[in-house]
Amino acid sequence: MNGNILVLCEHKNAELDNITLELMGKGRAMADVWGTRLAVLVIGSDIEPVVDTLKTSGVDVVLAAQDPALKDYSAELYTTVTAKAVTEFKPTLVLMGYTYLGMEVGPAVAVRLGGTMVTNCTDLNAVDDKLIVTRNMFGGTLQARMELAGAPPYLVSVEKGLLPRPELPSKDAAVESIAIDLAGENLHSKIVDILSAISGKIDITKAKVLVSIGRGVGGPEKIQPFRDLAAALGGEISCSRPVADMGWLPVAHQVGISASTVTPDIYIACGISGASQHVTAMRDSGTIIAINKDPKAPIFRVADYGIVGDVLEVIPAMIAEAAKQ
Amino acid sequence: MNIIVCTKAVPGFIKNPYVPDTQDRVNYDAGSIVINESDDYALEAGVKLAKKTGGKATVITAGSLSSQKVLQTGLGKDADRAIRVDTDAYDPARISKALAEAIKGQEFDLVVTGVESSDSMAAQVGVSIAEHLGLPFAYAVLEMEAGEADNTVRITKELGFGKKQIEEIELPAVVCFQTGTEPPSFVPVRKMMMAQRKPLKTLSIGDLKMEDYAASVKILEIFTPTDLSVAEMIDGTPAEQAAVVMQKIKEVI
Ligand SMILES: Cc1cc2nc3c(=O)[nH]c(=O)nc-3n(C[C@H](O)[C@H](O)[C@H](O)COP(=O)(O)OP(=O)(O)OC[C@H]3O[C@@H](n4cnc5c(N)ncnc54)[C@H](O)[C@@H]3O)c2cc1C
Ligand SMILES: Nc1ncnc2c1ncn2[C@@H]1O[C@H](COP(=O)(O)O)[C@@H](O)[C@H]1O
Repeated sequence: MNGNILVLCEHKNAELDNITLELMGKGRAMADVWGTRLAVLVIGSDIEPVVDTLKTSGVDVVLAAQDPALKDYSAELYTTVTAKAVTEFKPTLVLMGYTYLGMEVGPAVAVRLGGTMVTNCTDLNAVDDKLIVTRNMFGGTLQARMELAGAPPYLVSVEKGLLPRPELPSKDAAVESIAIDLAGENLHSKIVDILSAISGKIDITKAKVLVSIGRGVGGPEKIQPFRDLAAALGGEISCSRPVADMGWLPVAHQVGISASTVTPDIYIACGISGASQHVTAMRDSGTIIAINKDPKAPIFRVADYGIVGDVLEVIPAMIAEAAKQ
Repeated sequence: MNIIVCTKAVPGFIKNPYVPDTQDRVNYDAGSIVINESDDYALEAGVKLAKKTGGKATVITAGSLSSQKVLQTGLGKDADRAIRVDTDAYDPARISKALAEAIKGQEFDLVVTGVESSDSMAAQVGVSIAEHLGLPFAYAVLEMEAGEADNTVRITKELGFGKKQIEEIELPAVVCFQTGTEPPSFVPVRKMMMAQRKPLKTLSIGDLKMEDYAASVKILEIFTPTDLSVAEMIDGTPAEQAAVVMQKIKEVI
């Protein structure tokens, strides 16, 4: 297998997202083995700073899709632009994050171009003449190794935070613009408004210790001991999405891709399974402690210390221990 | 608005998983069969909007006979019709093709799906259906209502990290619904029993006459992710575990 590789870039405030650096590392290694070119597609309205950074970041080509109409994310326009870039650059492999962007634009481009997409991967490699991925299944309690069997282009989305971010040797990348006549596009959707950011009384992103609760805690009436432990450790209480959805805690406490990213010194995950959408946003914490009754829970994969057990027994024991100390 | 809701039957938990010789699925013993979490929200919102706008709601699933249960849940929640595409394939590419083909044969203004299924964990089928049908779509939607302009739907979707977007999308369209703060209702036993007596339409893969229905992946093996774990596991009674873990915490803070 060979052919060019394209990475779908994610950037914010002129900075590259880590997922893009991770995919560039992977893409570079594969393109070097194949003897092919690695490109990055940047979409937006003011993308010069990102394009400048990418020019010397180890890729061969920067595909720049710049247009005032691309200022705000539009699934429809981003899909059109990405499909155009893939058609022009003709990659065999398109890499993207298992992120909001990858989840929405990825499958659309794959179907539109008659390619093959595999999502939610934790790794990928070319083995002989085949593309082999590892991906999450069954709530993350299982992983499967799969060979892509359909037609190219192959589109693969990867969970953020798993692939290494190697320092790539600088290259003088060519910049090519992806020209699109967006004014001539017959749009089927219209952005009415953009609502920003979560507000709440507490800011979990500043806490040094987070006692974080998941659905496994069992109910809103069971939360007090977790608050007590957080207080004993001088920290705050945080949670997974279902806990906020069910109203056990306000959304200001939620950790994950739809809410806040946190990096406390200590993160104690209590009855949280460890879905990628949660883990992505807490994986860079200092020390991660996971308490879960299921020894197969994927949260143990990111933890430094693991306890297989009932949180409703372990937490009171920890509070008692804290009182002793 | 006539609305089609895609609901998937997923296992509550699984035992003894293995990859059969066909290499196109994972077989297992299911602890229970439940409706996929985000699909329950999709169903609730889809039926509600159909009723509010004087249209009909149809629930559809692609699955084996046991997946009928989610269609009955749909009928129990007042959907008007139910369709099952008979297949036990895993492949999200195949599933989305089959569902799109089945949906093509129906009268509809809007298709509503969930965001991600708990077994495949692909977040792929909803948007793929849209693209097979050549329709506009929105992913990770929290709310929807009839749009201000004629023949549109107004949605609020997540863009991540607290950011949201409100869009008006031309119908027909596909909306992938996310879990939200309004809990889905519970179907009373009596209604569920009544739903079990309602007719269900079944389509075979053959009925859909798809030219290309090849597998997109070949499953080589499955394993437990914690096999790759480097966590130090703390054993003992809760008190013993607590003593060790509090010591570790003390070393950090
Ligand atoms: C687009 C998108 C965005 C998302 N955004 C987010 C997000 O921002 N944040 C987020 O968290 N999720 C998010 N999710 C949802 C995510 O996929 C998971 O569904 C969610 O994280 C699961 O939450 P949980 O771990 O609390 O619940 P579950 O997955 O239900 O896990 C509960 C865990 O508790 C354990 N347990 C049960 N009882 C006990 C007990 N007595 N003692 C110990 N352990 C016990 C179980 O073994 C299980 O592992 C998103 C999903 C999508 C598709
Ligand atoms: N077999 C199926 N039958 C009906 N709907 C499905 C099926 N598989 C996936 N879906 C829909 O597509 C969404 C995303 O699923 P997935 O791409 O498997 O993560 C689900 O939430 C369902 O609404």
